[in-house]
Amino acid sequence: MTYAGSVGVVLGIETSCDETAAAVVDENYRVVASRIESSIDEHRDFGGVVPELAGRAHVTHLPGVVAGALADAGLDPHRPSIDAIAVTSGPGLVGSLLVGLSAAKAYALAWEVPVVGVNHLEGHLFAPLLEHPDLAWPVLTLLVSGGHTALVVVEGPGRYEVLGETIDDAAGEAFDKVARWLGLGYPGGPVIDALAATGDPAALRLPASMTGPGFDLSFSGLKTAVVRARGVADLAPADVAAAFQAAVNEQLVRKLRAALESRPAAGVALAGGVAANSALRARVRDLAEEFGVALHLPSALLCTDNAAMIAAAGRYRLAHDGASEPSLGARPNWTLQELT
Amino acid sequence: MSWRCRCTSAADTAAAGEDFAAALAPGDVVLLTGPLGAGKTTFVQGVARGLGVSERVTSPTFTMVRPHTCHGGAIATLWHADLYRVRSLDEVWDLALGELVEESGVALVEWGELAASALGRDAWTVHVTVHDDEARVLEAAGARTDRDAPGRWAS
Repeated sequence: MTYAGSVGVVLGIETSCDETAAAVVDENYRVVASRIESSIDEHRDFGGVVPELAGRAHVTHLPGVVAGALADAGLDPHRPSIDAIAVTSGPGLVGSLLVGLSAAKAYALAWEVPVVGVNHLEGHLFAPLLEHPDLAWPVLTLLVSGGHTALVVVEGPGRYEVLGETIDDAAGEAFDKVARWLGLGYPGGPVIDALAATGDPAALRLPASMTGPGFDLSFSGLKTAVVRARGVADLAPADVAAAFQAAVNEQLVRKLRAALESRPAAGVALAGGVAANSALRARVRDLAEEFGVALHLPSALLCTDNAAMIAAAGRYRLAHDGASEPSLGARPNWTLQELT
Repeated sequence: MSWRCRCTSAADTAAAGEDFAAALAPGDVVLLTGPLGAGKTTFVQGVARGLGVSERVTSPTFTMVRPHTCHGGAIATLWHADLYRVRSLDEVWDLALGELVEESGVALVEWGELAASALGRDAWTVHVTVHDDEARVLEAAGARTDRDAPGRWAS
């Protein structure tokens, strides 16, 4: 089914993991409204996302989040004048994805608008566009979150080359696991970021990983090096956090630098929850300055999971591929490489 | 009866997994236990190599369970699960690992302690102990460990 109409105002819906989110984005990629309800508090006791809890939380939160975003945008929550609904259909937790997909299809039927399924990772790649609609391509994007770690050349909307990916743990997952091991709770990124600022990274020597050529990344060995380091139990948690964070960022920045040296790029971008890490942002800012390329550091709310990025990617997908079939289903393992 | 294998590097641990794959049959569930950084994912990567999985095997923590297509043997699918984030037995039942392996599959479950009471009776267990010299000792137990140990494993 191809979509003949013009793509104007899009309602985005995102439920792939912790966050229940809805947003309204206009034809200029401007975020008109964005609401995010996190169920992280409900997961905190468990030290991570619990699939069934996440699914139930989405069911509870989604109607209010959608109505709230529409009202914030000055639209009638019962009959909004929107042109399409974009919804995350993967990757993610299948039960959580199905909540968003079912809701999106029901709203689309009621409001007689097309629905388009969006790849969550492609959504992250669209986040810089929301703050810089006229940005120049190509953009080297480091996508770092709790579930994903990839270095991607974005030649333009829909045109991606994945240079490298993690060969084991995602960067954010390593933050979560080390934080839990240090007894700092979940999610691990923000607590380690805050604690690391008060620690001495030189207090613990950690091996550099993935120092060879190529753009793949690895964080499992680093995690092991931290928990198995001799005398680590006697170190202050702030020092361990500082050393671990410095080692993660060192690897990320080294690969980003290598990519900038070998690929033409007009800009660099960070995306995903780990992109909110203050030390990483500072290092990437320095790197962009050194190479004289534009810097796209989305605000923290656009780095972490949100529905504005889904609406933005959905606008492109609707214009490029047309609306999704009514049979649109969840794709828990959908990769960027499968996009054309 | 159990099988043991001493590993002194990550490559060793993966090779032990590759040898272990030869002992697996469709329908098997393997519970992997051991501390953070013991090499559980590395072991699974080795098993995947032994089962002819061609794609990259990374941590499935985010999606809890991830299927990999196997090539060249009776096992069609390797289900790689990670229960690190799971804290209640209900969540283990929701993953339905026993049903997943019915269609010529095997399941390898990291942080499998929790699943033992749900799946343990017929499941393999592979426990990894980390020694002070950084060597890993793997100990496997299951319904077929009364047979000869495969490859570098010893009975």
